Amino acid sequence: VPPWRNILMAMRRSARVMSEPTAGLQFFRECIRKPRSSGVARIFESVAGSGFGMLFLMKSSRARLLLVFILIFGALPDIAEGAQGKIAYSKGLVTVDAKPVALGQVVNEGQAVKTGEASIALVRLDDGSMLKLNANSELILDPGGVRLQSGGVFSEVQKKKTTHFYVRTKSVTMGVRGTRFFTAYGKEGKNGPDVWMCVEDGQVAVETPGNTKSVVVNPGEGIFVPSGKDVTPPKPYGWTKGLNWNMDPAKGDIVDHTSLKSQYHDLTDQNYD
Amino acid sequence: MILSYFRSTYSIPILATSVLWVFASRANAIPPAPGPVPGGAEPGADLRLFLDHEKFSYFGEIIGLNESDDRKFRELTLGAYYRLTHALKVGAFYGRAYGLRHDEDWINDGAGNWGWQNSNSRGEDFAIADVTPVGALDFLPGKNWVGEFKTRYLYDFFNGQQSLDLRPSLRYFWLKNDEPFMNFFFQLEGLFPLNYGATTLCEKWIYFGALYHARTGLDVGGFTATEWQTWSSPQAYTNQGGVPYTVTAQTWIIGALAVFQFDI
Repeated sequence: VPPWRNILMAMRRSARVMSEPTAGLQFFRECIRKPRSSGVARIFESVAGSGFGMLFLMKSSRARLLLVFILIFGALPDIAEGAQGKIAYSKGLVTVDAKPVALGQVVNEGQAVKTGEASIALVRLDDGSMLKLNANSELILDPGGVRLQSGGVFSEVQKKKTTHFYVRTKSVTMGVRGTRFFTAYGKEGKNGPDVWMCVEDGQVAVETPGNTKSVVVNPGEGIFVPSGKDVTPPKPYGWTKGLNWNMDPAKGDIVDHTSLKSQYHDLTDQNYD
Repeated sequence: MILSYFRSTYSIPILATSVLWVFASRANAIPPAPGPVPGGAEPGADLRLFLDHEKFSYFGEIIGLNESDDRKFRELTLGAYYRLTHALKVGAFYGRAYGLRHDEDWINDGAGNWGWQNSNSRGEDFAIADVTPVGALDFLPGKNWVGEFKTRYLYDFFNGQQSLDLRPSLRYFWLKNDEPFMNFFFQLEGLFPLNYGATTLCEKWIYFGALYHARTGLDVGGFTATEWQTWSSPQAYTNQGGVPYTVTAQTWIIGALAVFQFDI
């Protein structure tokens, strides 16, 4: 992440601190207790957050001017893509940086959300995008998106005019502008795990590190990235029919029961005759 | 004395005339229709290999079946399928087959004897075009059903005969821990002559089989099939005054099946 981006993010978060007292208080506590990650940017972030907070409390005209500036700056969409979210729902064992989560807990860039056996978590990002983390999964919030470390994640991404939202896996990067899609790791191969992805709505561009050309996946299609190999051509997969796209617990069960193992056996894909 | 003279003078011409008469009369006799072809249970084996590369699936198959009337059917098929869409694959194949019996194999041996020609060592080349729609039938009880409708056009270079082969099938997958464990299939097959024969359907099959998923890329199992083949009177037979006929043979086949499938 370039330094200028960290500074922008720090300013944006400082604005958030001042506009959302509860979240701000928690942010302060986190900053004081332990920097979320090492580095000058983090320290700057803490200092900036505290400093601007104090200025706000002082209610001086200079502080107010700064506050207005920062609020405007912080409100500009997509300038500083600092990924920040909140735990919107959790069931079972869900942790953020290995500590059990609370509803509404802020998840900051660089932090890892992890689910255990028979667990599930919903993470709402700043821009309104929603992530549903399946059981036995882990993801890290990154600038401009998330990094899936294990398991599977449903993404419902709000439309963006200028930038893409990214879901990065160990072998491919998926860039989207407003879509619903599912990404998951499959079996572990010699060169890392396989990756599966399918699109429910919108389009997803899939890129592998070696390829400059991206593969565009349309609604109803999926791709498979076998360990150490290129992305397979997009096509409809039978296993995607059983995916549970619901991300609203009020509307019913949000748990997805699709087994990753079954993804290896698209029954219509088997050749026998 | 007179008798002896008569014998020596006329015996050779009489004998020759008699033989010619016998031959001529047999040659001019109405040719007989074939009798019922004996059926029975016969063994068979089928080995299939799929090499998948993106949308292509290269295919090779070796079949060995014994059929009614001591026929030994052997066939090699080579070619490839191409997945046009997820639900439709097309294929082109070359085939070489031995032991096929055609209508024209009801022949006169030249001595007035009619019988089925032995075609066990006669090789015939085929061009095959295939269109196969395939789809999940997960609305059926048990969900793990796949339906397929194999449609094949066959051109036999040996005699120019063209056929349409239709083979709908239904396959159920038994999964254990979301892994295929076994599958069971039921197929119907009909071979429709396009430019030969007196019947609309000259061959029909009913198959039932099971495959055990032994390991990734290998399924082994067995099948049982009942086959009905119908032959009708050939031109050479009717030209000699033969009464048109159709004769059907039924064979029950019990066979072994192995399917190899690898990504390349």
